Amino acid sequence: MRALLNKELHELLKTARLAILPVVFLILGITGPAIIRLLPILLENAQTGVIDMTLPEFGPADAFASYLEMVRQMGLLAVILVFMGIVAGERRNGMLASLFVKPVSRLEYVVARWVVNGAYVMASLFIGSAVALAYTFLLFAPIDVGTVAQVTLLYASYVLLVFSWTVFFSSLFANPAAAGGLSVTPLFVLPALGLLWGPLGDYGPYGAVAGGTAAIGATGSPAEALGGEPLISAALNLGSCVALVAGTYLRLRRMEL
Amino acid sequence: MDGQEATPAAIESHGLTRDFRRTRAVDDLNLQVPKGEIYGFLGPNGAGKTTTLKILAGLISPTLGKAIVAGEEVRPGTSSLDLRRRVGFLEEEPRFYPWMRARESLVFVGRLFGFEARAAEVRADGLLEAVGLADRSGDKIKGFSRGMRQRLGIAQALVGDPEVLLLDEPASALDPIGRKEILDLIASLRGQATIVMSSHVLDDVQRVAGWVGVIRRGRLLTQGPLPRLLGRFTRPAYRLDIGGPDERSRVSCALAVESWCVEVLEEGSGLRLVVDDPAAAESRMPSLLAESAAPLQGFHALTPTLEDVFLQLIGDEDAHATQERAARDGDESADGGGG
Repeated sequence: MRALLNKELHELLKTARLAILPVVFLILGITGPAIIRLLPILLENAQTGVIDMTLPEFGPADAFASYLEMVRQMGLLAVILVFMGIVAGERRNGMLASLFVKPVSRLEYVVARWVVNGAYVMASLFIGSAVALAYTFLLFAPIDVGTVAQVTLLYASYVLLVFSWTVFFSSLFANPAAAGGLSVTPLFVLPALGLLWGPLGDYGPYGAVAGGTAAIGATGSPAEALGGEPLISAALNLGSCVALVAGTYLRLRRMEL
Repeated sequence: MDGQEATPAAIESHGLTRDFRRTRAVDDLNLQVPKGEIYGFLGPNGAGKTTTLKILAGLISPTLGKAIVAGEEVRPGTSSLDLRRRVGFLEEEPRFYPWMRARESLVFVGRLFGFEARAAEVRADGLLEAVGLADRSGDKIKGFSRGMRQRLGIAQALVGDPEVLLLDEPASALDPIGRKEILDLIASLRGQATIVMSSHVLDDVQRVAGWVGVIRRGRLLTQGPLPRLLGRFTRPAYRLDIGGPDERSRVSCALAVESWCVEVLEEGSGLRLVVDDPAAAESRMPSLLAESAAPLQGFHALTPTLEDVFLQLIGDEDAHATQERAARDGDESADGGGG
């Protein structure tokens, strides 16, 4: 197991992948608050006088919420693009066969890949949040660090889930693009679940994200907004991650190379 | 069965069969590879060589039958870590992590086999030396030539000190120099492990293998020690270099009526004579050539080659298949007539 963990770590450090996600999340951390800061100026310059728009006054919560929205869209897409070939690519280029002909447990392979790359995704998210926090402070006003940390953790459960299903889908196909296509689909489906049935929205995978977004924008105590539902949703997300790791292993166990 | 020897077998298979949807890639294969031998696994492209090796390496499962490789059983639905500890496998095109350096990749494989870090490094250095890559140990693999990758692949397959080494077409895609290097390397491993080397290149197999198995359409046509196969499937043959087509034709006619003559073929500026009684042929030929007054420029007894065995086997199998098809067609038309 240690050999595989070391290999994953070295692969991360020696390839371009190391820079991709931290840079993406860093850019999101900068642009999220910056867009909110610039939005009134942009709209004012764009007004033709035909429509008289009165914009609300944006605050630090809006700036950080803007970053979170970008994470939900571009951030998750970047995670999928980076990892859609994590298994499929190695299967396609023959690396998987070359590895599994040696005394390597397929479970250890999956766990090593998930642990190191999952930690990398999490680190990237936290880098983005830290930058967004700093930029929000610079451009607006201080925002409660504790709330930001809690919200980031709620988001982390969802981001980790997206990473985990990307790894799982990558094990189903020999073509990384097919795995990527399938991984993107739940990003559109899951937010809509709450419309079908309320509890699915609250406790389902997207509940952690919705709860986190509400907590940032909450006018009252963020702790109240961060009540039971988002936490249960986050816990279920982490449970789903474990199930997806197990699913990936089962798929690999049956895979002929 | 062919090739039942007193030497214990490193690999045995019984009724090994593998289906891919409607295609039977390996059909009732009964292999017998003696311990310590270099076994040439010969067959045309698509014969089922790679599938067989992958089954023996534990990468894919047989549909039916079983194999025992280095004492580990390979059955449908099984995949054993112990098997993979005892077997080294080289794919036709070995794969490596391109970001790794040669030594690093061998150390990584050593660690997968459970070596401590220092032991893995020592093993890697020894193997790099053995395969002639010691001076490139710090280079990134992505810059390696095909031959170098093949040598590194063999080193990787040897890291775990395997009892059985399975090499899938190790030299087929290499230039003559690379091919010679790899075949010399394989020959140098004789005695260190039992080696099964698949190939469709007959010369390669004949150069290094002591035993040969011939597979076609997933079925084993024959196997055994190479000298025995050469003796069994080839007939004594001679080459006669005779100047002038008329003289060649005259000699050919004179030879063809002899009872010991199997066939006479025209080959370039000479004749190839296949006989079934070399003693009778050698005693009669001088007088026969003198009678025909043909200018004999050369006379050589031909050494039988694996190519002769292979062509003989393939020819026999084709003839057998044609006979079966004809018999089947005959039955069908008889049935049709009766109906």
